[in-house]
Amino acid sequence: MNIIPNSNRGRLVAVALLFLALVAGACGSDNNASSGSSGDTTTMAPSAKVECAAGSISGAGSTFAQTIVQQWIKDFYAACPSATVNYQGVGSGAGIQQFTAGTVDFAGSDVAMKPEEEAAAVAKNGPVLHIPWTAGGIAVEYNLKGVTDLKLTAEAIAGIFAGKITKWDDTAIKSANSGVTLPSTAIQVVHRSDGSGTTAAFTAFLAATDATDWTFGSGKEVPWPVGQGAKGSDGVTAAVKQTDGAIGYAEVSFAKGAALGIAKVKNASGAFVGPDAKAVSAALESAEVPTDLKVKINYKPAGAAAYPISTTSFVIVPKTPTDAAKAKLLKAFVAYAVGTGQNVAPGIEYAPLPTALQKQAVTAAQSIGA
Amino acid sequence: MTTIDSAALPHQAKAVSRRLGDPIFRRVTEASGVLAMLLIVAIAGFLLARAVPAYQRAGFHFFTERAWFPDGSPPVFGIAALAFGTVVSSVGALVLAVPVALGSALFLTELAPRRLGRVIGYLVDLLAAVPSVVYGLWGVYFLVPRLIPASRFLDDTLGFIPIFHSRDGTYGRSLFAASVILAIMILPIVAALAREIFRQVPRANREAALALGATRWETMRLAVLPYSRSGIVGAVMLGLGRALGETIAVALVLASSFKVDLHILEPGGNSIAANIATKFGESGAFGREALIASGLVLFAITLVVNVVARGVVYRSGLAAEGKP
Repeated sequence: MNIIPNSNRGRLVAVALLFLALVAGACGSDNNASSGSSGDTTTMAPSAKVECAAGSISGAGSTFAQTIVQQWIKDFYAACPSATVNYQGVGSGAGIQQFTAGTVDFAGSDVAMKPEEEAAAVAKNGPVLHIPWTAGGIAVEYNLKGVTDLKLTAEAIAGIFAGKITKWDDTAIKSANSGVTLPSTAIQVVHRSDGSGTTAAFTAFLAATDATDWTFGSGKEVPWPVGQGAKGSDGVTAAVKQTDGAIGYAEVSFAKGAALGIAKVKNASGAFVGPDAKAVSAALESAEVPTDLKVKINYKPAGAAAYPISTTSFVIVPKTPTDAAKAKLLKAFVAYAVGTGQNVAPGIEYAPLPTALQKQAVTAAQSIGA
Repeated sequence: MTTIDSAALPHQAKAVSRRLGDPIFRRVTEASGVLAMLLIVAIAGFLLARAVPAYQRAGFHFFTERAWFPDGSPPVFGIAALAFGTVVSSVGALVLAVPVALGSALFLTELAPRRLGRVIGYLVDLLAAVPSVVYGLWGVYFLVPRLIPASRFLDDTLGFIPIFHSRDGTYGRSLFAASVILAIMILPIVAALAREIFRQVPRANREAALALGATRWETMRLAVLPYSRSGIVGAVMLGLGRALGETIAVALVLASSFKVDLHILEPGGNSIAANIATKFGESGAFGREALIASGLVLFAITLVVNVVARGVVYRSGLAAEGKP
C-alpha cells in the first residue's frame, strides 16, 4: 500500500482489511441456485413405485434441465430420505467436463457428447450411457405493443434472426397474421451471449427449416449477424421485456414467467402451434431414436399438433459405476426420473417423454451397474 | 513534511517479553510477505502456462480479432473488442465516480457536522457490502430500463458528439450503462479512501490557510487537495482496478457484442472478465485455454495500470515535498 501517504497507516490498513472482508464476502455469494420450484405441482403421488437406495450422488450440467431435476431430487428425497442427490446447473459443457474429471457422478447435457468428449469420458469412467430424461419447448418470445397473438413461419423466424427482416410489418410476417395490425416498429433481436443448449436447439431448428436464410450454422454459440446478447434465458427474457419490438428465444417457463408474448410457429403440416407440453411431446414422437438413445430432434415433425422447436436433455452416467453403492442410487434416481418423475413435467413447463421413448429410457436406466 | 514516528518513541518497560516477541513477530510478518508474493507468482505462472497454447494457435490475431469462437473449426478468437470494452467501461466509471467520491469525501471531512458525516460515511461504506451479482441484477431489472430515457436525452442534447449518438435509436444495455453500474460499485472504495486521506491533512495546514483569510473552498484547494494528491491517485487506481476486473455485474448488464465502437449509448460491448464469466460454462477444452489467455491480458492491463499509478504517486509525492 505504498500509494497511500505514510502517516497513519495503521488505520488505513484496518480500513483496507475491512473492505477486503466486505468484498470477499460479497464475491463469495454468487449464488445461482434457482428457487426450487414450488411443491404444488406434485399432485401425482411421486412415491408410488420408487425403488430406494441409500447414499449420496452428485451431478452437474444443463441449466435447461435444472428446474425439473431439482423437483425430482425433492420428490425422490421425500420417498427415500436416506438418499442425497445434488445437482448444480453449471451448463452442459461444464457438466460434461466435471463428469469426465470425475468430480460428479452424473452429468446433465442438452446435447450428446462429441466423439472426442465421449472418448475422454470413457477413458476415465468406462462406457457411458446417454439417457434422455426430459424435454421442453423453446418459446419464441416477443414484445410488441398491441400485438398479443403472433404467428410466425420458420422462414420468418430465420429471416428475423438473420437480420433480413427488420420491421414488424414485413410481408413475411404480415402474410401469416391476417387480421392483426402490425406496427412498423424496428425488430430488436435478442440472443444468448453465453454458450447454451437452448441456442444449439434453436439454431439447429433454423438451419434445418430454412437453410437459405439462416447461413450461420448451429451450435451452442453461433456468429449472430444482428441483435444484442444477454446472459442466460432470464437475461434474454429481461432484455425482450424491456424493449418494444424485441424478439428472443428461451425455455417456455421464462417467457411465461415474464408474461411475454409467445409466437405460434408453423409446423411441417402447416398448422400454427404454441410450445405447450403436449405439442412438444407430439413433436418428440417424430424424433430419431438410435439404439444408443442419442435422440436427434426432428425439426419438421409430423402431426398437426407438433411444436417444431424443442430440445431434449440427457443424463450422462457411467454404465458400470465403480462404487457399487453409488451405482445402486444412481440407477434408482434415474429410473425414478424417467419413470414416475415424468408426471411432474407439464406443471413446470417441461414436456414428458413420449411413451415409446420413455420405455427405452427406463430400460437404459435399469441397465446402470448391471 | 514532519511526520511523528510513533515507533521511534522509547518503549523500555517490557524489555524481556520483547526479546521473545520480536523474532516471532518477525517470522510471522516475513511469512505473510512471502506468501503474498508466492500467490502472485503462482497465479501468473498458471495463467502463462495455460495461455501459451491459445497464443500459439491464434498468433497475432489474438490481439486483433473481434470474435470469440475458440471451439469452432477453425478457431476464431481475439481480445480486441474485449480489451476495448474493458478499458472504456472502466474509464467511463472513473469519470462518473471520482468527482462524486471526492465531493462526498470533502463534504464529510470538511463541511458536514461531525455526527452527520459519520452517518453518511457509514452509508457510503455500506455500498461496498452489496454483492456484485446483486448490482448486476439490480442493473438489468431496475437501472437499465431507467437509463433508456436518460440515454435518449443525452443523445438529443449531445448527439452531435459522435460518442453520444445512437445510430439506430436504441439504447439500454450499453457501455454507458456498464459504466454507471461500475461507477456505483467503485464509489464507496474511492470515497472511503479519499475520506481517510483528507483526514490525514494536518490541522495546522488548514488553520494556516484560514488564518491567511482563505475561504473554505480556498482552504480545500490550497491546503487539503495538494497534500492529498498522491493518496487520491492511489485511491482512484484501486477503484480502477476493481472496475477493470468486475465480472458478473458487467456480464449481466452488457449486451455482449464484439464490436470496437465508441458509440457508448448503443447496446453492445463486452469486457474480458464478463466474457470469461459468460463463456466458461459451455466452452470446450481449448475454449477454456483461450479464456485463460484473455485473463492473462487482463492481468497485464491491471499490472500496467498499477505501475503507471505508482509512477504518478511517486512523482506527485516528490512535487508535494518540493523536490524537482
